[in-house]
Amino acid sequence: MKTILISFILSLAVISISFAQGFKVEASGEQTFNFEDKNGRNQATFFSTTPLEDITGISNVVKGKVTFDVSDVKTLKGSVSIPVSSLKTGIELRDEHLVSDNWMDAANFPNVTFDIKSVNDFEVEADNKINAKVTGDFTAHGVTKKVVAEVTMTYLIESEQTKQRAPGDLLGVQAKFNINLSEYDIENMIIGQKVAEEIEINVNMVGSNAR
Amino acid sequence: MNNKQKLIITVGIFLIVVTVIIWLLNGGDFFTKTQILVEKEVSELDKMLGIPPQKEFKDTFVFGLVPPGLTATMEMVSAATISGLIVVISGILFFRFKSKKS
Repeated sequence: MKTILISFILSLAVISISFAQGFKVEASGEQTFNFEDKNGRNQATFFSTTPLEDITGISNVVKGKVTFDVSDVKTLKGSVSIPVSSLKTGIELRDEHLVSDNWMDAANFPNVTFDIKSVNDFEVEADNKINAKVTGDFTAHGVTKKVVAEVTMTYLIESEQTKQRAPGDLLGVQAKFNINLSEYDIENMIIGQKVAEEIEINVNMVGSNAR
Repeated sequence: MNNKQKLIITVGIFLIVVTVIIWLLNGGDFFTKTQILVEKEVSELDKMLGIPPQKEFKDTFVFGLVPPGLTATMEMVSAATISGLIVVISGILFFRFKSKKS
């Protein structure tokens, strides 16, 4: 009976390990990656397309931290934010409209944030690369809605090459999701409907686990 | 219509055609732009991290059909603004040189 019980527990352990979705790298345990980059190399972009004009906005001020167990990315938690005032669209007047109280209202809602809630639909592309769908609370203009981001994470163990960017292991993150402006109480009439209702958001960032 | 008025109309149409040709040669963009989006070169490390090229705005003047804003003088320059000015100036001169007989 004892043997059967031990075998059963061992089987469960083996099954749970084999189903755990994580990086197969020379690192283990819980790791925290900080995405703040004083050199502005992390970038968030938004894209709007209308028959009149395509608009791309960029911000190089991406802040945030994520924590997860290297062997189980499902444990991922953390948040990423960008200051609204850091968004640039290539036209000064439009940038002024963007932060004004008629639009993103940067004075009252200074940041756009994404809080990670859960991670699903894994696909291990390589030992150090995982694709997943990350569900999170996206907050803009004081309104919070659930969104699902398609995320690719790449883990690089510290090396002479990675040290050129930052000390510690590096985590490269590519995230993409869409939002509808009207759901965030943002009126696009102010800019003469030159902005699309559906906005594509991309975030490309690299974080380091150096303390 | 006297000779001066014919000359004004000819010159006006010629300038508008030149403006439209310049606009088309600049890419036929709807809005005048003073900055365009370009992609930076991606480093080998960024490639390993799966990070695509970073984008940045570069100061470049693109002559568009209509001005995007009224903050800078250069942003006022557009095919529609110039063509409109040519029409207004030509119109004023056309009536200015109207012969007293007609």
